[in-house]
Amino acid sequence: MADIKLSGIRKSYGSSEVLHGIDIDVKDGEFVVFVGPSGCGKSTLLRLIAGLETISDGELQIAGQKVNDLTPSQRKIAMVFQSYALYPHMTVYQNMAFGLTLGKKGPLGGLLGGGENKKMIEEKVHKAAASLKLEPLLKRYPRELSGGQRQRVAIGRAIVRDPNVFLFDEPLSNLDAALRVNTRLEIARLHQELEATIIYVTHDQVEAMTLADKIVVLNDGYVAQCGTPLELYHQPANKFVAGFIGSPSMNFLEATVTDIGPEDIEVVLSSGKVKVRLPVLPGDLALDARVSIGIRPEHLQEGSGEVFRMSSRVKVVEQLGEASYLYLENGEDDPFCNEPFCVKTNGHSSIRTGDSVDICAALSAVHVFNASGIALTRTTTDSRYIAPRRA
Amino acid sequence: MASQSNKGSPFKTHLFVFLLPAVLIYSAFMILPLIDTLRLSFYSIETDGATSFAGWANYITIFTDERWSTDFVNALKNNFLFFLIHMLVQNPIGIFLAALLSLPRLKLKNTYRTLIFMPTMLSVVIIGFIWQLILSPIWGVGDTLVGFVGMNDGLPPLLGEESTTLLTLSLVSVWQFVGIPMMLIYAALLNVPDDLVDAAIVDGANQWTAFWRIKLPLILPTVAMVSVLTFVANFNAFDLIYAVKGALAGPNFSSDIMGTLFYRTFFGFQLQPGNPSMGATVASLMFLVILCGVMIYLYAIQRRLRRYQL
Amino acid sequence: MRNSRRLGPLAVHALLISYTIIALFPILLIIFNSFKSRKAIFKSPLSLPDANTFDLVGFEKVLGSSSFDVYFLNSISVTVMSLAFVLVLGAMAAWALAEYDFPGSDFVALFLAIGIMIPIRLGSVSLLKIIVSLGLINTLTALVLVYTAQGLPLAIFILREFIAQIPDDLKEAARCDGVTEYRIFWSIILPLIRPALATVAVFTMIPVWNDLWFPLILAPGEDTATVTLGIQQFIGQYVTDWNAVLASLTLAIVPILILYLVFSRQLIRGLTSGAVK
Repeated sequence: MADIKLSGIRKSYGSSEVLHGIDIDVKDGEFVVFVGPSGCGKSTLLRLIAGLETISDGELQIAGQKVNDLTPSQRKIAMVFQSYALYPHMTVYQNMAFGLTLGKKGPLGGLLGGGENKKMIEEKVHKAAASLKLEPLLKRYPRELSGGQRQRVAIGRAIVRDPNVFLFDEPLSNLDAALRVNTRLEIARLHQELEATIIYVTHDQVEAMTLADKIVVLNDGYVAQCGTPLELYHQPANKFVAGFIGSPSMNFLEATVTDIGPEDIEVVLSSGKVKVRLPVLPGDLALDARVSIGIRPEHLQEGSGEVFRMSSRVKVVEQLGEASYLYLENGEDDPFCNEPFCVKTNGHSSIRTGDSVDICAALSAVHVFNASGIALTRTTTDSRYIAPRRA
Repeated sequence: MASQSNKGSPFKTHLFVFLLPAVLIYSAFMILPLIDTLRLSFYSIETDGATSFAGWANYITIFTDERWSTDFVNALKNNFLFFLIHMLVQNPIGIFLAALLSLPRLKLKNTYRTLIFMPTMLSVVIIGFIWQLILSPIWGVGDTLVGFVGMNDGLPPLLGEESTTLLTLSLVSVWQFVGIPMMLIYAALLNVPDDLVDAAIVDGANQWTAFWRIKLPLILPTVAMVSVLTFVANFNAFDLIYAVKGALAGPNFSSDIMGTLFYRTFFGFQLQPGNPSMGATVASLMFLVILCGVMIYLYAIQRRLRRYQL
Repeated sequence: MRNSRRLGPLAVHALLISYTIIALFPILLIIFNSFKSRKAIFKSPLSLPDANTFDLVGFEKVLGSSSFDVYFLNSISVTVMSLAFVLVLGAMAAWALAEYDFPGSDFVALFLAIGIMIPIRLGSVSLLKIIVSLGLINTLTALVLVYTAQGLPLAIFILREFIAQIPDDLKEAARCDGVTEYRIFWSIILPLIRPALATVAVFTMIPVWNDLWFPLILAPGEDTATVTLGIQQFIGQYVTDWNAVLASLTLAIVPILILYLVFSRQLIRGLTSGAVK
């Protein structure tokens, strides 16, 4: 097992740069998830680490050794592909053994076999197969397997090679919802069992949150934020991460700064109706600067007490059973910007479409972002409710 | 209106309007002549033009009459050699070029493909003449060229000696048609998902082992198809030999193949008059050979080779 | 490791360039020398024509003593007519086979497929008889008929696969509007299968233009000779006149070369589209 260090990694195709200097440290045995919208560069970054693409600039270290110019097998990595990439003309056994049969020892550069000796290969394959319950399938061809079985074979093929690092490229995206949960648990179990360093790429934030020791959020070729799942959820560094992590997404309200204190600011929402003091460090914020206020749907609740409160009409109600999502109206008097504004309430809520509701939120759950989207440091984590003042 | 009738209705005029012209022309100028040729091979044609049923007589003549059987066996043997050279030289080179062209991130691949395919576009007759001129001892350009690679004695008359003519012409044909296996194999290689090759590379393969152990096994059905296309084309060949060596396929019939034998038998040459029924017999035997090749492909090879869902 | 990685692409390019030279050199050699004087052809065959060696005598000879223009016109007429028949009749039959279920449709499809593998040449003995009895010997019509029959099987096979992929909804929508089957074919199907038609056109055209066999046996007359046959006969006649031989070859090569370079993109797309798997 090994740690991985990316310093200033860049990748360009021709004149267009898709990764603009990525710095990440992955500790030995850590489960790191790269997450981001499609086209953010997460798969490219994984392929750079795998050695399937050449690094344009920067340095990649695995186990303290610079590996920029090494082949994938020299880097001692194993990869599980989104399409599983099982060799269709080989049985499960042959698929898993393929990597071990390659080696410089054989004639014609391993063309006719060679590699490790048969008995050792057999032992390794059976051991990996046993841990994934693949033994009854070893003689089958990939076309005779279900999606979940193929997935397990792909993982098995990686395990057999006993790599320093496992790389997973969106491994669950071809599975149906039920199987996805099972396989997710399986991968988590494997991580504990193998104590392996794993880098896992996904666009699904649920996978990221549930599996990761550390999440790297990528956006447009940059690292937007890097941290534990809960850090990203509670302290998003910028508006992108705030909007990306959490489902449904965080609600954003546009506001203007009306007063700046040493440890808080006062803003008025763009509707002009709600004025509120927010406990954040102002930094270099100026009066009249535009800021965004972010509140997650699950941190809003029905209520009309002396709280950060707004009222609006309900446009749509989505009932999921355990919870209901209320989507509030963007009318003329609407204090909200043009995005849907969502509130998560309990599943017994009797609110119907067209009703008027009052909603409120804990001050500790309110995030503030400056005009360039950077989060302002919050100075409180208590859950005191504050009363909005009518403007 | 019949044209507006639904799928289930009993009689549909439009069906015949769409189908009939093609079926008629195809039947009249392809199937009918083929069947009639097979029929004619069982008749003999007298000098006055009258035909009479002859049973297997024509076939017996070809296989037992010494003059006929020598020619036939010679042409058949040469034709198999012609095919063998294509299989051993043209198709491996085609596969090799396709493998190079399908390497990831290769620049200029379209240019290479276009240029290498160029000779395939030209008429076999023109190709024949081009090489006849280049190999001609009169011009001597061939001698100059081999001089560059250290052969100072010049070229032997490759198209003038019995031992080299067929081989030389086979290689000329190989040179012209390498583009076809290259293109078909290249197209098949493009269908092999990149992920499979990536997976092999991660498993420790290089491009070379990945080609042999992953890509090639997956495109075997295409390789088999290219082989049967080569077989049919080779046993149907005529133009090249005729253009370069004439109907006599010299020297001393050493470059004679089934196509030229068929032509000579049918139209006659020098003192021997043309003989349509013997021509039909030769054509029928060619038909048989080609049919065997196609059947072997359809039943033995294609059934056994599995097409993988890529 | 670093070295071998950098060397890889270079070696690949070296191999490909070498083969490209092998493929092109003989053709270019002929073209260059056709523009040279007889003395220069023999003295320095490998050099490009320059002011001293430039000579068009071969072309004058070819254009003066043979009917190259007629040959070209014949080849073009035969190719264009055959192509038109193959495309129109082939598309019609392919549509019928792909769209309508009728008793024996599988048999008809199989019957039409025989011609993909079995060369039409094998029926030449009877074909000659038929053409003679129709009074079509030494006419371009004979060639067009034969080439149409030759091109149809593959055309129908490719187009049928392609038409089968057109969504049913398109046709059903038209039928609901009361459009006739003929109009559906002409206004909906034909425009949709244009890419496949291009592929078929290429597969049909090349063997027709390049064929020697049928012009030789069905239309060997001076008035009906195609370029391929004309060249063959001309060179047979003037075999010792190197200028004329080289010039006639160049005249036959260059138009095809230009056409090929113009349409190579479509052609190669057709070849690699997987239509002939």
